[in-house]
Amino acid sequence: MKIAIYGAGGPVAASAIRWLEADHELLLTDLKPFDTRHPFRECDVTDPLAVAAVAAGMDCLINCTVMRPHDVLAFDVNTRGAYNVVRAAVDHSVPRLIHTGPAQIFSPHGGYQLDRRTSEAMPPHVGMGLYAISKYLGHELVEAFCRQHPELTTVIFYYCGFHSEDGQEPRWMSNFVVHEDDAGQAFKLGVEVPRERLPSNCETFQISADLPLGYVDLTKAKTLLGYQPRHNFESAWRRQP
Amino acid sequence: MKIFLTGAGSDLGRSLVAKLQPDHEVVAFDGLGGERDPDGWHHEDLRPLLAGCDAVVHGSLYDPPPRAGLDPVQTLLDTASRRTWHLLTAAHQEKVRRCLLLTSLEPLRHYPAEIWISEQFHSEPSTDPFELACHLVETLAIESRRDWQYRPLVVRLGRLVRAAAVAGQPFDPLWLDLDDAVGAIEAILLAEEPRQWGGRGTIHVGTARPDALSRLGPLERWAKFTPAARFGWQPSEDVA
Repeated sequence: MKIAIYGAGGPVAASAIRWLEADHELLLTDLKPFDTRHPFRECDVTDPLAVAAVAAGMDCLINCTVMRPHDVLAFDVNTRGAYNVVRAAVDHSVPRLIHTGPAQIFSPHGGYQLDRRTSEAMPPHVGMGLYAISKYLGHELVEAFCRQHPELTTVIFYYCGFHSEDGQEPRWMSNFVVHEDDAGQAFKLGVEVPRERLPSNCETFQISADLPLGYVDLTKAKTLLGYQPRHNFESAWRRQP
Repeated sequence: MKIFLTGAGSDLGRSLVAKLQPDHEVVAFDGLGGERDPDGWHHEDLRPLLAGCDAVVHGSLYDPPPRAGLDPVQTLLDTASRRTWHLLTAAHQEKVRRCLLLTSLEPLRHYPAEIWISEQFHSEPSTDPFELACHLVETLAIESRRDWQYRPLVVRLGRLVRAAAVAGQPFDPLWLDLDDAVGAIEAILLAEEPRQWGGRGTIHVGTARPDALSRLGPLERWAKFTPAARFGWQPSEDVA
C-alpha cells in the first residue's frame, strides 16, 4: 500500500514507520523536515490544499498530528486538521484512514476514571479540557464523513500515556498506558485488517498495555485486529522473586 | 438586560439587534485585535467584555467573522470550535447567567420523515460544513454541562426565510420566518428558566404546523412563544 503519514515526526509515528516500512511504501509529512530515508514532504495539516496534495494517489492516510497546550493551534490541528485529512481522503478516493486520539473517557466531572473494563462501546465523556475536547471535535467530524461515505474505511485508535521504556523499578502505574512499540503494532494491524472483518466502515479501538488493573478492555482490538501487546510494564506491577 | 451578541452582521443578527436594542443594552462582538491570538477570540480577552453581561447570544455560525488566511469553510469550523470554546470558557468564568448558542434544525432533517423530532434527538450532521459546525457547537454545549455544570442553551433554528418571499412555494418542514426567530430568541432570553430546558439544554424554534420538522414543546411551554407565520396553513375548525 501507498501510505501517507501526517505528523510523521513524532514518536508514535516513528513506531508506526518501523512497523509499516517493510511492507508498504511510505510518504512522510510534517510541519518541518526531519532526517528519514523515506520520501518526505512538508505539510501543514491546517492547510487543506497541502493536505489534499499529499493524499492524491494514496491507498491509506494516517493522521498522527497533535497539538496539546496551545489554545489556538489545538483547534487548528486537532479539529480542523482532522477535517482536512478526512475531507482529502474522500475527495481523493483514498480507501483507508487511520485516525488517532486520546481515550475520550476522562472528563474531570462525569468521566469513567472510577470504572473498570472500559471499552469502545462507552459513550465519550470528554470534558472541556483543551486537548481532549479539540481532539474529540475532530473525531466527530471524522465520524460524520464515515457515515456519509461507506467506501472509506476508518480505523480510530484511542491511546493514552505513551511510554518508551519498560522501566526497571516498580512505580505507580497509570491505568491506561501503552508502549510506543505496541502503538506502532496497532497501526500495522489497522492498515492491513480486511474491511470485511470490521463490523462497520468506522471502528474505534482502545490500544493499551495488558495490565492486571483491568481498566481497559482489549477484547475488541485483540479479536478484530489480532492485537497482542508485547510490552506490559511488568516491572511496575509484578513482584520480583 | 445587558446582552453580548455575536454574529450581528447576519440578517438574523441585524434583526436581533433591532429587536433587542430598544429595551436592552446590546454589545455586538465580531472580534477585535487581542493580545493572545490574531482575532480577539481568546477567553482572557473576552472575559472583560462579558463582565456584567446578563446573557450571551452566540450567533456567529450565521455570520462567521473572517480569520486571516482561512477560507469560508475553515472559518466556519474555526468559529464553531475554537471561538465557541473560548466564548464558553469566558462566559463560564464570568458566570453569565444565560448563554444561548444558536445552531440549526438542519442536522436533524436526516432522521426518517415519519419521526416527530424533538429536543431529545442528537444532531446527525451530513458533511455539509454548516451542519458540521452546528454539531460541533452542540458537542461543546454538552461537555460544558457535563464538566463545568455550566448550562448553555442550544437554540436550534429552522431554515430562516421571509414568509412573504416564499409565499406560494411548497412548504418546507424546516422553514422559520425570520421575525419568528427573533421573537423566539427574545422570549427565550426573558423566560424564567425552568428546572430543565427540554431535558438536554436544547430548544427548537420552528413553524407551528403539524407537518413541521419538530414539535415546539419547550418553546411554547416555557418560553411562552408560538411562532406566528404558518406559511398558508390554517388549523382545522373540526379540532376539539
